[in-house]
Amino acid sequence: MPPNSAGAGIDRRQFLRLSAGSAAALSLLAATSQLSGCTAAAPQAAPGYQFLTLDDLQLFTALLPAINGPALPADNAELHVATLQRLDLACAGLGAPAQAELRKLLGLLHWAPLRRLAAGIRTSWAQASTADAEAFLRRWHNSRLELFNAGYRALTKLGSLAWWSQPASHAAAHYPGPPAWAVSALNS
Amino acid sequence: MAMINDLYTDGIASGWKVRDASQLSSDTTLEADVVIVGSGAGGGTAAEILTAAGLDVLMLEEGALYTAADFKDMDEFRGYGQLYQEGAGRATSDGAVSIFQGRSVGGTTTINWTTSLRTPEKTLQHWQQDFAVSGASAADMAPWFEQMEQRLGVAPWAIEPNRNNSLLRDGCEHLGWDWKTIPRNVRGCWNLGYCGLGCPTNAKQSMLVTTIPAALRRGMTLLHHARVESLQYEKGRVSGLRVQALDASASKPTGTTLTVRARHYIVAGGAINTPALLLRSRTPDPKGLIGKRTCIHPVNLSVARFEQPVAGYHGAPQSIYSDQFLWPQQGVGYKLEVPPLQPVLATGLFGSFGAQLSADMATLDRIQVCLALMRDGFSNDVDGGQVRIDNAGNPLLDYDISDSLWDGLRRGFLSMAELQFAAGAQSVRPSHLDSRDYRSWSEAKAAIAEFPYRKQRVSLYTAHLMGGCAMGEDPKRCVVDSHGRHHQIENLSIFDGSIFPTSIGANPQLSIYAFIARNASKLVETLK
Repeated sequence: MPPNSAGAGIDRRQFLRLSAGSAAALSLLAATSQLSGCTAAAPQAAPGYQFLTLDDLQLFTALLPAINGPALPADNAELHVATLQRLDLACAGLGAPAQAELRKLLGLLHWAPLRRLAAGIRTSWAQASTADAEAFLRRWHNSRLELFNAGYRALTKLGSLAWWSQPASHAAAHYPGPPAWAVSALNS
Repeated sequence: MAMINDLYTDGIASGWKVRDASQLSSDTTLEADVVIVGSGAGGGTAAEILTAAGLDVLMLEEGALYTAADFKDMDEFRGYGQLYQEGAGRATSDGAVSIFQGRSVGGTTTINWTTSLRTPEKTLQHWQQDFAVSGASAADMAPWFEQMEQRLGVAPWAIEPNRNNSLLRDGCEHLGWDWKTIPRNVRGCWNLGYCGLGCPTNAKQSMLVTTIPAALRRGMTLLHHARVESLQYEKGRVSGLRVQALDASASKPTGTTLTVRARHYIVAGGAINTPALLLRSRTPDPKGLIGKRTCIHPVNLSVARFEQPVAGYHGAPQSIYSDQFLWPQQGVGYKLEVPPLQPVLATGLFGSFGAQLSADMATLDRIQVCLALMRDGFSNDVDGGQVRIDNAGNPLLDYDISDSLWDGLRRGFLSMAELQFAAGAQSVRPSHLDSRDYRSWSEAKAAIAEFPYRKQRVSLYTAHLMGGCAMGEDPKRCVVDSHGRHHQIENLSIFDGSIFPTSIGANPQLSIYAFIARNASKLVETLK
């Protein structure tokens, strides 16, 4: 399916709007009833998390390397958890309307028929490869549909904040951190 | 060696009345002569003037109290999470424009980039002519600007700009464009570059370290972690405030409810939260004006790569601007400035992901970024957005972008790319999803002409919220009078950026300081 027909199979008018920003959002007009099993209010956050569910953790585990590229070390479990935790804190800090919209977006990506049609991911997120996740991001980046662009922006904003805010990322950005003399003077 | 005086620890020890609502366990009623809702540029300025007149003032802030001691790490993740509305994740209702707005004691003044410019004379004239704003000519306002400039140490930045800014100046020089040095509200600035994460040295003369401490010394009570749910009305006057105590994270209500009674009520929550509070409270609004004409100075950006290091993450974030395109003969005008370039702030500008984002970030030390700040609200086809509330009373900002505004954004991309190549850029990438690195001005010019101009394709930001409770003498068009007094409710004033009838055409903090100093001084006369 070419990127520009990413909405095929879904009545475009069913999407009222998608809002991202910090987070994201998909308001489904007519499709609300179709999605009522997977966008039930306040799903259970994963243990140790405030916003992200176990399903969300699998989704972002697939997306984080695709969002950040090789600068994010692949085989560092501790770093991976730290990145997911920062992502969770960013989601938890959003206002209620933005959280609701983000929850709808994630609900869409978890619902298998829409995950296949809209995101082009044929496996579960747990089984999706980085290449699959990259193809999904490319499709939503290139799409002519505003709501997919908005979803792209929301997911990449959260995913890049979670990694590039960590001191462990500074070397990859050639970022020296705050001036050492000032840090030393302020903390002396 | 460099102990930064922690004003609040010392102040509280000496008896300042600083209270944390998250610690309150029983419902209670508080009373004062004047209550101020919000502790930003408007609330802070008013507090100093009202307490100087001997009035008993209570200031309410929904965010937490953080001070220089909390800012020493200069860490983006900590700063955004602590000090910004929605953890810096606030956006317009459709997500198309990211909103940077403060949320702690000091409001946005705690996290702004210190640019302190007077309201342009043309803007004041426009307000006078189109909104019948009285007593606000350039001559009327000059003493108020002078007073607040002195109070907050505002002076043109005397140190050499960092290279992110000096390249803006160089590009303007080459092209023969206007440029000027930015006045900043700092005293003894270390030139670090982390103003947006809270000033770790107390050099920034924000409300947090100037007017609020002054008011506390005179006996003001500051109650933080306190969200005002509604104003209550009786017989055409405000009779009280209903306030929810928030938990330690300043996000969820603890269940403790406070009632506040005062002779006069000042709302100063900023141009999103103030209209939302008035709407939640069902404030009389016969013409349906509250929340309308909300202006945001929509900003687009352009990323240039240079051969030599730029290091835009260090040094005063904003020290040079250009008004070459602020007042064009036709169409929307814009101001050119630069943003600071710490890593998280930069990631969103590239628009890329995966290997490309890794490669883009590896050049962080060599990028220079320009921003074009659109002067919205001055014509019928660019008349701002609208603040409304959802069913639970949460604020939402709808902001549509007309063809005229897109045209301004397109011209902004052109000006920025031309300037960056003139300054010696190797490549330029306008912040647009259809963009890539262009190697020459002609290549960039052709691409910018062809971009689709639609929401979400263009990366858009705002850090300036203005309007929604316009001031002026005509109650059919304005929510408050020329001095911020509500047209229908005698004991209610609005003292923040929401009173501006249009955008400013310059970073708004000094406009808020000066107008609120003027309006609070006038209010004092009637309350004595």
